Amino acid sequence: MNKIGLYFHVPFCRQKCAYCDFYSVTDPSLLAPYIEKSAEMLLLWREPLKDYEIDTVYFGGGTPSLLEKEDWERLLGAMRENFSFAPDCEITAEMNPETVTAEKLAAFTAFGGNRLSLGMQSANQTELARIGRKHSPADCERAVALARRAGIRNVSLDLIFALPEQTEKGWLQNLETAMSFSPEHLSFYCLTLAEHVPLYAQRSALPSEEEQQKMYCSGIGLLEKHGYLQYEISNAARPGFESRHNLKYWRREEYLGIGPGAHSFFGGKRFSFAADVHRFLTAKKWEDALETCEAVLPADAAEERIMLSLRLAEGLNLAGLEREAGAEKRFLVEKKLSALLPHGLCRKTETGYALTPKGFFVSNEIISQLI
Amino acid sequence: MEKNIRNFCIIAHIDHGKSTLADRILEATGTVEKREMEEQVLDDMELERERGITIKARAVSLSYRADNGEDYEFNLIDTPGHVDFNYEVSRSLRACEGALLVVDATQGIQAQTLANAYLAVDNDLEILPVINKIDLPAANPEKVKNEIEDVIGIPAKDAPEVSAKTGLNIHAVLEAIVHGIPAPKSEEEKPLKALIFDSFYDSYKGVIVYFRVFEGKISRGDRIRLMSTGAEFDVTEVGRMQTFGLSPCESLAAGEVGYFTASIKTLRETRVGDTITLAENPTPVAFEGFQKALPVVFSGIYPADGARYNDLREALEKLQLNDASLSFEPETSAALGFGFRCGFLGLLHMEVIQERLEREFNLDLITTAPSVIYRLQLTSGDTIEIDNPSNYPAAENIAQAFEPVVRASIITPVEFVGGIMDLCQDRRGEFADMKYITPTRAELHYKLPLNEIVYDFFDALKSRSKGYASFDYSHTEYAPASLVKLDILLNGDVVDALSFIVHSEKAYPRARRIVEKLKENIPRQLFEIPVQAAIGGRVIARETVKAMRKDVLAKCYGGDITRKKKLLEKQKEGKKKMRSLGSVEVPQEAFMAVLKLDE
Repeated sequence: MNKIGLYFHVPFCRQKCAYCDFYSVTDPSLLAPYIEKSAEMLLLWREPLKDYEIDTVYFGGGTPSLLEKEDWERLLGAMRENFSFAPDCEITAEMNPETVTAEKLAAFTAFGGNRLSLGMQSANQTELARIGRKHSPADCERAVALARRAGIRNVSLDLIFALPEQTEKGWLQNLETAMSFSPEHLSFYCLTLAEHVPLYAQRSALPSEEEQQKMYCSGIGLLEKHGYLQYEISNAARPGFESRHNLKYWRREEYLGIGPGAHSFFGGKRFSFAADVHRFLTAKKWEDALETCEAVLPADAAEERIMLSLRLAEGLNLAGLEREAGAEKRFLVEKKLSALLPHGLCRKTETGYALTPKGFFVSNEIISQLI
Repeated sequence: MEKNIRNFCIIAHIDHGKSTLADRILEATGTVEKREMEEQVLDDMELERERGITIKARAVSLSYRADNGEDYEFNLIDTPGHVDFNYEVSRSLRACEGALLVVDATQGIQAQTLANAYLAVDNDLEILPVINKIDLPAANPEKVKNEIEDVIGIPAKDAPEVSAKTGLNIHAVLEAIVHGIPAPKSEEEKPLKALIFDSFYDSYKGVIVYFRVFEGKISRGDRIRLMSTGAEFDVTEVGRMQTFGLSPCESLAAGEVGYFTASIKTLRETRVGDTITLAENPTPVAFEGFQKALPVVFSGIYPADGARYNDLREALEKLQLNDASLSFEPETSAALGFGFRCGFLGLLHMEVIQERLEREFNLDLITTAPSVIYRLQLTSGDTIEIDNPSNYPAAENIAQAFEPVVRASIITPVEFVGGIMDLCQDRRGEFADMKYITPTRAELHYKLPLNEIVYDFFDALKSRSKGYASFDYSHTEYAPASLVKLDILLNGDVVDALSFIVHSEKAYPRARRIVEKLKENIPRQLFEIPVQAAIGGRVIARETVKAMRKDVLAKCYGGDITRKKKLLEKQKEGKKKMRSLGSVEVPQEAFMAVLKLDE
């Protein structure tokens, strides 16, 4: 049976964080109609997914922890009723530490929810305040404890580095604190500021690129020392706890994204829905809410393979590339990558090449030379 | 009936109004109605019009009824206004009996005014000064007339004071032509002897040759011979040049100016300065001074996009159809791929060709540093000439090197003399003399190595004189010089396209500037790139392009692969403007930047 991942977008936040460039709305009155509409619209996928088994579900945001007990029941219930699920299905929810409650977790786990991704961002109160987060490091510790009590054995913590005025030492301390909460998984995103976000005004206080590179590489080293192995540019996990849902993105497996601004790769096409809650609420069918839809041609497939697999520690499989793009392309890619070996930007693997941490941090440049 | 013919040309410093005056003369003689006039009819290339300079000579026949009631045929021969085309200028002058010397009433005599006036004197022309731009507030015609009398030594008191722009006093110019310029001698009985002063290629008629008949006559159907090559052709058409086309006639006789066609395929067969005669009854002696225009400045021209090599070749071929002095041959550079080594008559010629390639043929070019022709006496006893730094022999094989030296004339307001002397000194100039044209303007003479002026000398001169200094030069000789070949290395590899020949004393400062410029213009790469300048393997300057540290999309939210793909594709697209030299990506600007070191 075909496998597919399901992404469910919750485009609601209490307030926007100072660094965030993602689509979300702050009007709480839209949440209930949104849940209702989503549950309805889900049914429209019954037919297309009839030969599929869902093996990962991901509630992302926005702030999925704004969903109350009934919302979880409504949504997860509709999913369980109408689609077939793999027995070991990974079901993740992103939550803000201060909004986690035992009640919400109970509703989430009652329908099979088994993975929690907490937006910790920093273990430093000053840093959290500076970027507009409303929680404390203690909130995060409390949320992890609640998760464990609810029986969740797979907890991930999201951290951001290269914050204004952050030093390498401060960053490594954040990592130490996060690891002291014993998560199974850690994400570490380098702060990227779009021009229109409030925090952009503090860009002169950002660490230099040299410092950022150091933070990135030494952070990965520290994680590894504690048994968290990097498997993607911004992700590390204890072996066996890699995010199966996110791996689908990088491995070019199928996923369906539901909600405004959500992206899908399904039936050879990549499509996305408009980042507009109102349009979503008034759509009669999925097509009404579509923003983009592109068929992935064979030539694109090889480029995607290069670009996505080089985000992963498992790296690029050269034999696979040759099957998709031919021997000449393989030769050219191999030539370029092997030239980067002496500079410590990539390494050989059993099946091809993978980037090193130093290489990951300049991966746009490397990949754009290969595609 | 004997015709009243006046053959004349107009000479001037750049921007003194030569072409505008030509237009007014065309208008005043009724050759062109004012409403049909586009500005400056004689300059018919777009670029000429924009730069306000005449690149190639043109000629036109006009008829004028003078105040004395007689009809005159005026043959106005327009000349290129720049030193690069001196040979063509001199041939055009040779075809005339007189010249109108246009001088800007606000600027007075400039370097090219003098250079052109001397050429006219050399060709025994009657020179009639014309003071132009008298409508401008700063005009000082009396002062300019004095300058002309003092510096050139010709009477100027009665010179017409005109405004070519407004048409003021053009009639006085026409009368001056009638009375001041001698009629050509009539020597119709002798065998044909005519001078080629220009030619251009027409895709229907083949080469159209412009000539002046000095002796005998030329008729349709004649079999003619070009005396430099002995090549013979049958004349298919003879006629006069009118403003808006050619006007065929039966024959043209001594004193007249016109054109002929003879199914000639390329301009190379009809060199300017050659003598035309009849195959059956030739003139015994050809005109003196015929020479092929030889290129003196060379540069590699490459398409920025290697795929457009063939377009570049076709464009050069097309330009060459009407510019026999442009030479080119295929050249390969390890750095730049396939391109052409092009030879030019001088700096302006080079600039004009490059601009025309970019503008008229829509080509994006990378050009290498201009080079001159060096003469090298080898230890083996042979002497060779080198115009491409890539072919420069190793130092131990050279017994003595020689470089071309020019005699430069610079006219400048006196307050800039100091700065200009410093510049010439810095460019290894040898001071010859200086004289005051007026109490406020001086003329300086220097001997300057040509290779010092091919690099941004004009720009430097302009900036040191706030644009007021004018410059002209003529070739003189080869002089011994201590020369070295400077190589530029990127990441340890020599970039052949950046090598150049330089005087040994200038090598270090030049090397420093180049590596600094390259460092500024090469973006950070995946790893550190040493930028070095070396002479024969010895590094004399080094800079480092630091490694790129961060270029990553950390988050790929909710599986948005499409946006990411587009970002990377855009980044890849940006690389197309870069040249891949080994493992280093070099933007086009880096190549251009090293050509302008004085900025």
